[in-house]
Amino acid sequence: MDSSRRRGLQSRSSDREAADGLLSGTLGAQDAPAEWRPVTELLTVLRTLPATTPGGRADATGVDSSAERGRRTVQAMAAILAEAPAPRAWRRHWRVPFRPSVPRPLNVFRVRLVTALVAATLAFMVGLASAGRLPGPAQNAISVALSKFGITIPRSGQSGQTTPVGPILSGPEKKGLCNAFFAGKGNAESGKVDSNSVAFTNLQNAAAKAGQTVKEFCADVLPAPTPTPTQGHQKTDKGAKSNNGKPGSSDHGNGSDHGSHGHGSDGEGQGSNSKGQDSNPQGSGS
Amino acid sequence: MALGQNFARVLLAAKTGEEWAVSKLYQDLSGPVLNYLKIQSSDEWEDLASETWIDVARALPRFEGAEDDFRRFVFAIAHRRLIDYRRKLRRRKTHPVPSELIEPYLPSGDVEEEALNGIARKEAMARIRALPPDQAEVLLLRVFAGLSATEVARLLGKRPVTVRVLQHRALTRLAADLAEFHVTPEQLRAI
Repeated sequence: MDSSRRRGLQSRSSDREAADGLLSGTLGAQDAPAEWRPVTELLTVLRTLPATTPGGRADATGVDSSAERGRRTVQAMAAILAEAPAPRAWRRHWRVPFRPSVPRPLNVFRVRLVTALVAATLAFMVGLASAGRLPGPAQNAISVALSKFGITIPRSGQSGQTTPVGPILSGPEKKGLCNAFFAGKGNAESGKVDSNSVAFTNLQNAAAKAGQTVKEFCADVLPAPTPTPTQGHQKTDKGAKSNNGKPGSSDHGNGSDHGSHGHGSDGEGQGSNSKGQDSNPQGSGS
Repeated sequence: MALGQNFARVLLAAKTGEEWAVSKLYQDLSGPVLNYLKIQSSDEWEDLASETWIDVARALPRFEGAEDDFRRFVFAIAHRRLIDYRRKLRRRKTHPVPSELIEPYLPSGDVEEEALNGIARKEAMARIRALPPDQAEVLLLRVFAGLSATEVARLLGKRPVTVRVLQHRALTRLAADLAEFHVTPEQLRAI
């Protein structure tokens, strides 16, 4: 701090002390700084203002209105004190509790501050409630209150998560889910890929995570793809029809087809064989 | 006109509703209270003073303390009446005529004496009224109520340092004001 600034602060401090002395009466007019001499005179004038009502004068009836007012005030005070209940000492006797007859004017800043605080508290509480972190009764109360506005908040004891999870694909649910995925109207190859089901989405996600298609993912739980007998039968039928329609066409192709399929198609294969056998005499006949 | 040694006896009598004792307390402080209110509220100061004294009477049974404490007690009530008055004034749609404008038309007593006394009084009041309200408030509480800076601070809800700064500013401003109008100490003393 440079010396001029220090001098300035010191002089300001001494000025304040002088002002305090002037107002408390410990500093006389002669001791006051020269520029404050008129002020000390002014303070003296203020201190010597008459103790009676300034401007008090007699009214038209010759009664001094200020004296009359004073007398009536004293009478009213005496009446109040005479009727007053037993006194009770104040701890801080001269600090009067302030009960304003006119309400305190609204402070816009305070109103805004209080509103912001209330809003922040509400938001905080709703946040805690939606996370399910409030104590039981408070959680229930907020859940009930907000449900009136269509906002779903879990009640106490419920899990905070409200979205469906779907079955765990590591357990026996996998088989059922895979069956369901490829059953019904779903595409036999890609399953119900367009479904909104959370379970099916989980299945697809799990398959993608394993780097497989859903069909490959489900291969271990679904029955092995069987030779579809309906296909063989259809072909046999077609073969029979063609045989019927076009005599002389070869039966061996069909016969070799059946041979390539397994045991399950034996019966029908025999049937077709019998047709083939039937056709052989025709062929041989021709 | 301090009551001194008699204060405790007068206070005790006043608490029981003795009119002479109430009158003593009233006369002791009615002048400073009236001046304090008159300088800060150009009109209705007499009503304010009456309300202040009625409030004093209501609170007096619970008061305990010395004469200085009683002075502070009364001025605390007067200050709060003044706050009430200012709030009321802000809400009121009418603007009453200041009493100074009506006084010349009222029947007068000794015109010469009034003129001599009134000039100094009005000059002093005008200078104080020209101050910002918080500075005037501090100054008047110190002059009329005889409160220290710390007591004024407690009454106004400010820090003592703030009160000291306010009173210093008030005096500096008054000095500048008097210098501007070329009012010398001799002139003020002569009045």
